[in-house]
Amino acid sequence: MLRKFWRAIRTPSLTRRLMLSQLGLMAAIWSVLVFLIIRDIAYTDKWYQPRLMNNRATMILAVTDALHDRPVEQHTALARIDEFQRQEHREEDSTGLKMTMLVWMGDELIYVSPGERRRVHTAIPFVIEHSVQDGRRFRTYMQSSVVSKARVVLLLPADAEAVFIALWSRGFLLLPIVITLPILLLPAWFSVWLALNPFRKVAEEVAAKGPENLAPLAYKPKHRELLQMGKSVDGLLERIRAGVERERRFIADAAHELRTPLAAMRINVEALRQRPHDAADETLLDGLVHAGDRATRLVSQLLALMRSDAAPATASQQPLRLDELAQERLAALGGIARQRGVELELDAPSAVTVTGERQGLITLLDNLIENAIKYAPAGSSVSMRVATDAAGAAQLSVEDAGPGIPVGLRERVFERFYRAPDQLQSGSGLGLAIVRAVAEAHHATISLGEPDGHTGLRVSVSFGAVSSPQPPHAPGRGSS
Amino acid sequence: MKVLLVEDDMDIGNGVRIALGDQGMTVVWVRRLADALASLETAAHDIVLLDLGLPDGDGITLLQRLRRERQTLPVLILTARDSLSDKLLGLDAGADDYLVKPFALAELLSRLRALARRSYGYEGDTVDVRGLTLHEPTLRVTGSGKTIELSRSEYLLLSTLLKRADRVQTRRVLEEQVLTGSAGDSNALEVHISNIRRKIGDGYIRTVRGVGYVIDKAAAKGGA
Repeated sequence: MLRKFWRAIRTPSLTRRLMLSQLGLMAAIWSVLVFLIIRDIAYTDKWYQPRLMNNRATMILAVTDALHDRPVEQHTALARIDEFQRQEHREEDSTGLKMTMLVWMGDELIYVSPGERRRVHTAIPFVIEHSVQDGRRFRTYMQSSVVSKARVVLLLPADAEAVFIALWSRGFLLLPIVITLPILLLPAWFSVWLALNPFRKVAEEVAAKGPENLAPLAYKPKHRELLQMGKSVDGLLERIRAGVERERRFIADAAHELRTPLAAMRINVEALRQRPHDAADETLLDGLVHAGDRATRLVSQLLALMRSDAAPATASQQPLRLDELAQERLAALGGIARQRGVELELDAPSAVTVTGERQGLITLLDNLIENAIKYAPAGSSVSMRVATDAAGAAQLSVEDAGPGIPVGLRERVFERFYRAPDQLQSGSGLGLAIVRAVAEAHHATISLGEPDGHTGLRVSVSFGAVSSPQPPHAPGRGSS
Repeated sequence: MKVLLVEDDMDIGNGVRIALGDQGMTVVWVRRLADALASLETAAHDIVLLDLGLPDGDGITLLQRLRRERQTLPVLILTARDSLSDKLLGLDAGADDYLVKPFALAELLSRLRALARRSYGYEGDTVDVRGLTLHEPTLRVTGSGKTIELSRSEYLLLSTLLKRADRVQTRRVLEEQVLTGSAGDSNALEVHISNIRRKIGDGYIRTVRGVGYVIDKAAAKGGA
């Protein structure tokens, strides 16, 4: 749980990247603005304007001079001015920024702000000076009276601490960004999500691609950023499709080319067999014919597989009577069944229509029937059932009384060239792979099971519901 | 029987030539379209075995030319092309039959004989299966020397099964043959078959349940 969360955080995300950069930029811009405002305030401050200091000092000196003969009142008046000045300054709470006022009469210090040092060095009157006193930086202003020996010094701390405090005290300027950032987060996230939607669509489509589906993307992004990517993906798909097609064509061509030498081998062996030969040779000749038959069958299965792969062809699919086709194929394979002493049965109580491609369905039926005949013991029967289920989907099943397929191998037997171990029958291992390929082209599902009441194998093929009697709906996926 | 074999593959050509020769047929084997045309003009053949992919052209052109000249010479196509459209193309061009490589010799021989019979007008003369004889010109079936009385539908069904012995005939095909007009009566076929069985005796017509019926040339070997 925690690890999952950590992984989610560590995994880079474009949305997060966009949002973080947006937030970062906004915060930075705001900070710069705040800084500029503070600096502006600081520069326009009275402490940077000697004229304002001059007025202030002149007033203090006037009071000092006017009350020079009444020291008590003089001190009270200066204290009131000092108090006013300290309150007037914004930073009344932060002692470090309070203005300090010192008044001399000649060499006698007649007033100093409460709690402040008494020695201040100033040199030039009417000028704001920067000075360092006891290790602290100050801005000082000194002015002397024109009528007496009175002299006033005003000083304000100006060190780094003071700047920090000034900034802090103007913190209300930073407050908006602190409050608005989280509120801005949601619309930002939403807009980023909206903007990335086309990306997601492309990703979903690409994810759905596979060997069976290499068609160009159906979703064509019009966005400049995605256009190139869409084209590249389409290009890649096209190259893969061409490669797969080339490979398929190669296998099909190879299989096709093998037919002629196989035919030659067979006809020569059979020509030899019909000539006089002794009984011992008969077995050898039979072996040759049998081997030739196997190679022939493998070749035609390979061709069938390549054809069913090549034909996703919903275009060539049309409504077909599955029950009639089953009857036809069972009749066609009746000879093989009789040779092996296997009885064939068809149970097709009513008309069953599927949408399909005739050649593909013939291949599917033939492989199922031949497989069943091959594994059924002599004297047993192979039965096929063709029916429509309640949902209107065509169901086909073939049962034999052979050894069946262990549950653990039921997925593997659909793999190309896979043959179950301890196999007594010869075979190519392609039959069920072909059946599956055809079934997939027809959006049908296959499941393997056992017949009711006896050992053996039941192969069930469940087609999607056909659209002719009912209104069309999604292909059914249920398996019997 | 004189057979013109048009086949460019050395091994197949040689095998077919020897196999058919052993069966007492006279085989002229050519490997090119041009040679085939020349041979057709100079010699009389009873049947043509035609490969489609030839080094100097497609066998279909030879076929089309034969049919343009209204020659009834039977043509059996031998080819590795097995798709339905290829077959239809060959048959549409006028081929009498179509055999996909690799083929069994027995199949080739039986088709050759069937074609030859047809072209000589012998088709459907008599068919004999285990003592049951179909004589088509007189529309009669005899069993153990005696004529079996059959209705028209029964005769049609039995003659179909006898002519195509060993090949299971689907219910659909049989029903279409005999039940024109009275469609919908799903039991009619069974009734006809059971009547035929009563007349010819058991052991001839074998039922393939749900699929159709067949008459086997060889009797069942016990069991099944």
